[in-house]
Amino acid sequence: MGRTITPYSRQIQSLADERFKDFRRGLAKKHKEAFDEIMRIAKRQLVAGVMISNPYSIETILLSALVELKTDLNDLKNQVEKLKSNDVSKL
Amino acid sequence: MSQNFEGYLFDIYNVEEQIIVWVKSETETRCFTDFYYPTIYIKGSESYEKKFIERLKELNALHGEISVVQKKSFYGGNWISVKKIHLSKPTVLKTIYQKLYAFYEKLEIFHSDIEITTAYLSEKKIFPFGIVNLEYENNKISNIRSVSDIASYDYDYPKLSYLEISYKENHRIGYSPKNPLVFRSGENFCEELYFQNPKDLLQRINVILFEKDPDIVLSSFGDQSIFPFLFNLAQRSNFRLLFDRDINSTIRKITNKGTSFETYGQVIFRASSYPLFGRLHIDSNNSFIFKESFLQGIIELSRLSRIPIQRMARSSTGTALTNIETAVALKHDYLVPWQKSSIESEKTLYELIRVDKGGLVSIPDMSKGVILENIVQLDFAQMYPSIMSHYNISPETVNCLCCEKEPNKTYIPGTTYYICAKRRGVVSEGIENLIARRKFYKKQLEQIESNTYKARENAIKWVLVTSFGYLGYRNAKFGRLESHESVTAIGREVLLIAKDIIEDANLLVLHMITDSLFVSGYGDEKINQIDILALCQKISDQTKIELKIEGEYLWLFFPASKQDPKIGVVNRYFGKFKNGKLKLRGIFCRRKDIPEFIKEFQHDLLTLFQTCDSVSELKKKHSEYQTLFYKYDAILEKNEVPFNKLLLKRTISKELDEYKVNSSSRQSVSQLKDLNIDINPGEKIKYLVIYNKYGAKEYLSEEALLGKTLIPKLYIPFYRELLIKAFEEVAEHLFDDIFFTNLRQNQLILSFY
Repeated sequence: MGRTITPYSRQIQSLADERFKDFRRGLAKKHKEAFDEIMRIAKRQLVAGVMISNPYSIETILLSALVELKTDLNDLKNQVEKLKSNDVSKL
Repeated sequence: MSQNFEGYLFDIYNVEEQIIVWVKSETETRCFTDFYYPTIYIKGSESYEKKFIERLKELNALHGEISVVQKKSFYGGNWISVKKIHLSKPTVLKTIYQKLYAFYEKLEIFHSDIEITTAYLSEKKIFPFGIVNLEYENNKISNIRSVSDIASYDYDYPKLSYLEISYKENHRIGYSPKNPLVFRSGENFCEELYFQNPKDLLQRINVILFEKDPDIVLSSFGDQSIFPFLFNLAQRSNFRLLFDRDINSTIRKITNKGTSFETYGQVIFRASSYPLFGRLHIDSNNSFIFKESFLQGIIELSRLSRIPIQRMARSSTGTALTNIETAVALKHDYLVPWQKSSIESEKTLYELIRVDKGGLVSIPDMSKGVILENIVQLDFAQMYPSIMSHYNISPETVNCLCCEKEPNKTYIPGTTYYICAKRRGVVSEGIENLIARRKFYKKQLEQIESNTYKARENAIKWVLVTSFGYLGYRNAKFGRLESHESVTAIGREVLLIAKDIIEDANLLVLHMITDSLFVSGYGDEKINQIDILALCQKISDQTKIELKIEGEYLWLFFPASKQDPKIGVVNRYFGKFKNGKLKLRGIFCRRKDIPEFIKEFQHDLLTLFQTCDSVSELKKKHSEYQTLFYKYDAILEKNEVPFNKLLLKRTISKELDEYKVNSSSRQSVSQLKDLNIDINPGEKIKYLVIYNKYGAKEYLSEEALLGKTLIPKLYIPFYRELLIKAFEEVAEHLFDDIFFTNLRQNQLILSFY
């Protein structure tokens, strides 16, 4: 309605449903879940995506996923470090 | 001998150059006349100016001498010489206005689009419902001045008498023994009028009008059906109705054709208007403002914008806003452009992608669950209008011509636009006054209950809401896309600053919607009130926009998306504040199209929720929610719900032949056509869902229902599904997954019976 540019939130949806639909179909079942999760991450990081206004939305989606994955990885690393030092109480 | 009269300026209208002013004192309402010759300014090539003036002379429309004066150009801010012309015939203004486009780039004509009455009020520094003191001779005004101050927040208004008029059943089925006219006045007078002989009706109406002598005629569908019907009847019977107090009133053109137009994706129908002369006719169904805040709101806006009451009641809040802004521009000696002459400047695709955005909205963070406790909601007060006022955003101040060559410009974040550092924006100044007014009323309301303040506050709120949209509106006088985009850009910046400050204080921002933030601690701990107040103050100082605590939730639901339960949805949440009040957004209760019966159920359910102070309490009341549902379900199954509580509401968006699918709207409109009732796009209809004779689903319009002698059979499964949806929408996270599936299966079994 009155918008010249498709909002980023709708672009995520259309990339998932149209542009990369066959990509998803080609994936094994267990990877489909990961694919869906990546699109979900992009939606969860909507604010960052909207702020950057990148004409190539897929880059923003991938970067969002990478950022969340890296954060998860850091958290896991920290937990492993703590386990290694046997300081279970801090977990 | 000249005499004096003092009272409230009740109504004003013009017949050519003659201005008719009605003034109401404590004892009487009197009519006075004055003359007014509107002023316009022109600038262009000499030959065009000459031709234009010649033409005015031919039309005998020139009053007095033409002079050359200095005025300020709106976009440039520099002084320019223009020719000042007085018109003896105000009707010529309309002709000029309609031909303005033909003069484009040849001759600029300013102020031809200002309404004559508004221009008169403006020049005399008076305003509707203000107190005026006038000197007169033979009812002709020789001097008129204002006794009250337009800027005052606290003002009185005269005691007014009312007469309410409506049809008994429905405005579409017309005047009949079953559907008489109903006249009401005060608490003691109510009369249903139906007469075989039309003259008896007109005579009785005149008796009522004479006895009650109402100042205000309040009608329901008066513009669309009652007045066209009555005036037509009176004209045919050659009978003078006493609706006008003015004995010289002009002849009305009677039509019931209105206009349909589209705005913000909605089709709206506006009936043609039937103002009265010497009384005020307000149609509660043809007024934007009436619905929100009744007469007090109309008076407030009418005063501020100098638009006479009856016109104000039929105008959009945007018209009031434009007039308020025009007044500011005139005060600063600007030449007000007739339409925005500054078109959108070109930009690259990348620039477009960067600026063509709205407010920031995040998807609720569900990492802490769907039902939450100890959440604080923070709101920026009047975010967009405050940005316009505090950041000096106005069409002439964004990328202004006067600062183009300045070496140090103030740029708007994320854009290539800059703001003027030399001039205060016209829109910004207008809005600033409105914000101050609203703040005063709100402050009063914190201390005392007052319907007057509430109505005024509400009316101004709607003008402020409109103000941002009008900045980007193609036809708005003070609209310019770059300034509209600047407001949202600053809005996003402000919200991000707030998010950063809150996160730096070791708190979690769970959700953001344009101007509000939902904040919680990382654990289950409560947020300290003093800390959060300090944070709000810090953010307000840094952003120049006031951030306030909207409330602290005892519990709050962020429902999961229907398509993807692992993610939240925007704009749907509900919860209970610490003060006991519920906040509901995006659910059935708040929707206008949902039947009353369904809304009542959801409302009762939420009332049960309201008794709980924590999530664990909410979860303990399972059986009570179910009992309530089965109670409503049983009433529905037994067919005990009155039809009017099951009516669904739709706005018709197109003509009958434009419908491609046999939808509820199409079926209803077609039924109405059979009853000789035409529905215009933008009108609202109500309908029931019933069984047709083949046992399939069908839609029955309200008017067709009134004409039926047999009681139609309701399509219960449809309503039961709505009831389940209303239940599921608010309680899905309190029951296990299978619960609602079972409820629905139950429905399938039942429908076989």
